[in-house]
Amino acid sequence: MYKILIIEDDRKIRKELKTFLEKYNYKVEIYDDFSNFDAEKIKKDIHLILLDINLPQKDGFYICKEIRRKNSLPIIFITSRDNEMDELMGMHLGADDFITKPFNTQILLARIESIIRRTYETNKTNTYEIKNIKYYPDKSLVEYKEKTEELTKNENRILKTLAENRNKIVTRNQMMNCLWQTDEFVDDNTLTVNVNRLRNKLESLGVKDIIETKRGQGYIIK
Amino acid sequence: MKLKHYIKDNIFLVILNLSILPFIYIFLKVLNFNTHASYIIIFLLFITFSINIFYNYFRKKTYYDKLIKINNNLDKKYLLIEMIEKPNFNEGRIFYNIIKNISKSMNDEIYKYKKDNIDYKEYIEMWVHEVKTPLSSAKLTIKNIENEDYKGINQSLDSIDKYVEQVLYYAKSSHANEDYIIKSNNLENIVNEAVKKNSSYLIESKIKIIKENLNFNIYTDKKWILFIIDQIINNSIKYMEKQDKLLTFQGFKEKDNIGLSIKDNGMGIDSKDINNVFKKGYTGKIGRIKSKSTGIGLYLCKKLCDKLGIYIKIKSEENIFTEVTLLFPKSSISN
Repeated sequence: MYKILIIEDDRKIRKELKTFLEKYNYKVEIYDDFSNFDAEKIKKDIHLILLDINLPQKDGFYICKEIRRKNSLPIIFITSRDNEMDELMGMHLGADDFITKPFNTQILLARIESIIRRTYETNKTNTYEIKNIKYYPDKSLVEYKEKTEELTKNENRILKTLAENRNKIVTRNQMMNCLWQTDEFVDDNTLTVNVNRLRNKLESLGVKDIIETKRGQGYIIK
Repeated sequence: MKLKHYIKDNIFLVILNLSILPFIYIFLKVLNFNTHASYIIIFLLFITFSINIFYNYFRKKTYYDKLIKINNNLDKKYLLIEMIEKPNFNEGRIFYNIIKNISKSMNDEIYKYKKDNIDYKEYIEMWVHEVKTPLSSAKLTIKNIENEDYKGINQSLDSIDKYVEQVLYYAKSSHANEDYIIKSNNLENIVNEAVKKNSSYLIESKIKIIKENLNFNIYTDKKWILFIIDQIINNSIKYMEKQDKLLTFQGFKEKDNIGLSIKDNGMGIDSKDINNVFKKGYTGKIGRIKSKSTGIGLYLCKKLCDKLGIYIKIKSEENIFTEVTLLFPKSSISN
């Protein structure tokens, strides 16, 4: 489990952010001693830092610089100062990403995930097991009894979303939103076609009814 | 300054001086003065008097002509007093001093308003950033509750966020301090980002997105252009009511420009209104029917485009389509 450190002075935001990230299986720690920041105080088991810019005493840029002097922990700026100047400044100081408040939670999760993958999981492959089917999202492959089937980009994204939200209904709109976050602006019909193709592929491996349709609600994998 | 006018102005002096000459002549005659000597005296008096008139005329003419010329060439007329020297005649000096006092007080006044304006802009910017913090935590709270019933609140929060953003850019647009950075951006990335930002609403409104030929580089400020495209997309979302809603983003290359056309197949704009859509507060026919318009969105787009050197135009046919085109100047670096 990956551990995220939140450096943010607004209590309400950090509390909600903590709840939100914990729901998605991250451990969360909060840093709130702004009186004298010391990069040494950051524990060794932190994997990623979410850092606000407007902070009491020293600002986020200073903190970012201090951390960078010690190590190369991934840093994502979260800020309400939405301008190009700050973003360039942040990147210049060695931050990995820059997300503006109020954040789209989908985008926040996607950015955290991609940075963590890039930093810590270069050799590891993600695997899901769904009713004896092995699913490798990084390779876009499904495997069942030594038979494999390759998935297209959209099919892979659909299956991944369902696998991540296992036992929860994913509405068609949510599903489309997930696909849109990868710059695939599919419409309603295309989604239906893609889901059907994915079902056919899974069926051709010999397993039926993995993806259930909840009429009027969405899709689910149990 | 014309001689005619000057003499007209000093007509009393001229008449007085000229009319005294015959009297002097008669006076000298009575005193039995030599006739030739009398003529010479009269002549000398005439010369002195003429020199006096012409000397004063040229002195003032030189000064005032220069003043008029400088004033005509001056962009900011209230700075005139800084550009001219003190005149060498008394009444001129009196006026000079008065004008100097006037413009000083005027400049102080202007400075005061400028400062107020900057303070106000800074306050607005600070306020916008402040208000985004509770907005974010409210949005996260709703997200954490995960109850479909609260979706409405989430959408209201998004609307608030959009209006707040508009305030921020309004403050930025009406200010001389430029806080943008022009750099190379990929047009497709920008369109993708703008679409993603509005994904929930576009999906909910069942709008089909079509992208064509967007692989160009444009030179502009990313945040500003995202805001501009955001306003255009939101207009389209508001005014599309058909079954098959389409929103097309198309890139093209013109002689000196890269263009982006954003076209919807919505309600369109009445031909009577089309020339006014960039005016502040103009809502037109649709605005009155739908009562959702504030007449600020496109006005702001135009103002920001002007600042960034982007040409914006709009074409529409009622009930068929609305197309907003942005023309980005090609930078010298890209050639």
